Amino acid sequence: MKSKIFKIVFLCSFCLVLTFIIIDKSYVTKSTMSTQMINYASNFQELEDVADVIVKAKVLNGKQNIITTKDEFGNDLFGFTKTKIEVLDSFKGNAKIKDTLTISEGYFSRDLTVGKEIITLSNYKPAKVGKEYIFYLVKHKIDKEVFKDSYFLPNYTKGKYPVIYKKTDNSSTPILQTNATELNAEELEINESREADGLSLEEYKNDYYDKVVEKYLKK
Amino acid sequence: MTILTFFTVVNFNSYADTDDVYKWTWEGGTKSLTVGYTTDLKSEGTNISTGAKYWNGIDNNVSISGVYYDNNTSHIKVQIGDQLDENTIAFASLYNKNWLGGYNKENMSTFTGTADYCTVTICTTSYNNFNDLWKKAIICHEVGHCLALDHPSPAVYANMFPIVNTNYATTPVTHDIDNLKAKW
Repeated sequence: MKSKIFKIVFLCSFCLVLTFIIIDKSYVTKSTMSTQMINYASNFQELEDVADVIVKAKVLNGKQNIITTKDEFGNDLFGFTKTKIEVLDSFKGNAKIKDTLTISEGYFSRDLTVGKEIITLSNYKPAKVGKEYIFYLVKHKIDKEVFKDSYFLPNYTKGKYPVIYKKTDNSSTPILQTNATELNAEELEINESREADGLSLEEYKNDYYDKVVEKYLKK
Repeated sequence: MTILTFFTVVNFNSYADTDDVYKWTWEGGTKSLTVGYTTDLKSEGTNISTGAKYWNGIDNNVSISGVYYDNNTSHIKVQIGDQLDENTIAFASLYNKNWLGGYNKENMSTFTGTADYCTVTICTTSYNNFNDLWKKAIICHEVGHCLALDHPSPAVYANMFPIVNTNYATTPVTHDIDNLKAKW
C-alpha cells in the first residue's frame, strides 16, 4: 500500500514538473539563421543614400514577435520583430521629433517544447529597449499588411548605431562617447566575428561608426 | 617517414584553415543527395539544377545525384517562401526525424546528429531581381548549406559568403572547395 502511494505521488510530481517545464517559456536558447542577404549599401555614402529616413531614436517597450511563415510540419520558419522607436532627432526624411516609427528587426522567437528559441538573422543584434540609436531606415515596399507604414534596416549590422554614454572618473553623470577607439564589439552591439559583413572591428569603426558619430552626434 | 610527416603537417594546416563546416551529417551516411523543387518553381528548373550541380565533381565522396520536378521524396526540397522581408534572398533549414515519425527543425549551426531532410526557401521578390547567373549562384549557396557548409568567418571570397557583393562568388571557389573536401 505504501509503495502504491509512493508511486502515485512520484508520478504526480513528475507530471507537475514536466508540465511546468513545458509551459515555462523563460528558458531561452539563442541561434543564428544563415540567410543570404541583399547588399543595399557597400559603403557609408551608399548607406546614407539608400536610407529614406535617418534618425536618432529611442527604442520603446512592447516589441512584437511576428511569424510570417510556417513550414510543412507546423514549425515557425521565418519571422521578424516589430519594434517601435521614438524619434529624438531627425537628419533625413519626413520623420519629426517625438514621432513614433515602426521598424522590423531581423530576429524572431519560436516556442519549443521546452522554453523558446530566439533566432537572429545573420548575426543581427537586437536593439535594446530604452536605448538610443542612430537608425538608417528604408520604407517597406512589400505590399503586405504586416509591413504597412513600417521601415526596415537596409543592412542588419550597419543599419543601426548605438549612442553610447559612459561614466568617467571626472563626472558622476554618463557622458556621450564620441571616440570609438576604446569601444569594443559588445558595446557597439555587433557580432565580434563580423561574419556576415567582411569587416574587422577596426574597419567597422573607421568606415562606419566614426562617420556616424562625426556627422550626427558631435554637434 | 620525413615525406609522410611533411604531408601530414601540410594537410593538417590546410584543413585548419577551412573549418567553416557544420558538424552534422546525413542519415545513414548518405552522400549521394537528391534535390526536388516544387511545382511553383517550374520555370526555375534549369537554374535550380545547374546551381545545385555546381557542387558535383569536387569531392568523390559527395554529390547531387539528381534534381527532380515536383518530387517530395528528395533529400533537399527547394520551395518558395513568398517575400519574407526585404533583406533576405534565401535560406536553408535542416530537419531530423524524431521517434514519433515527425520532423524536428534543427539549428543547422549547432546540430551534431544526422539529418533526414533539408529545405531551401527562396524569397521570390528578392530572388527574381537577379539574373540567371546569380540565381544559379544563390541556389548553389543554399545547397552548399545542405552539404554542411557554413558561411566563411572571417569573410573571404566564396560562394558561401552570405551577402551578394564583391566577396560573393557565383560558383564554388577555393574556400568552398577546400571546405567541401574537408567535410566529406
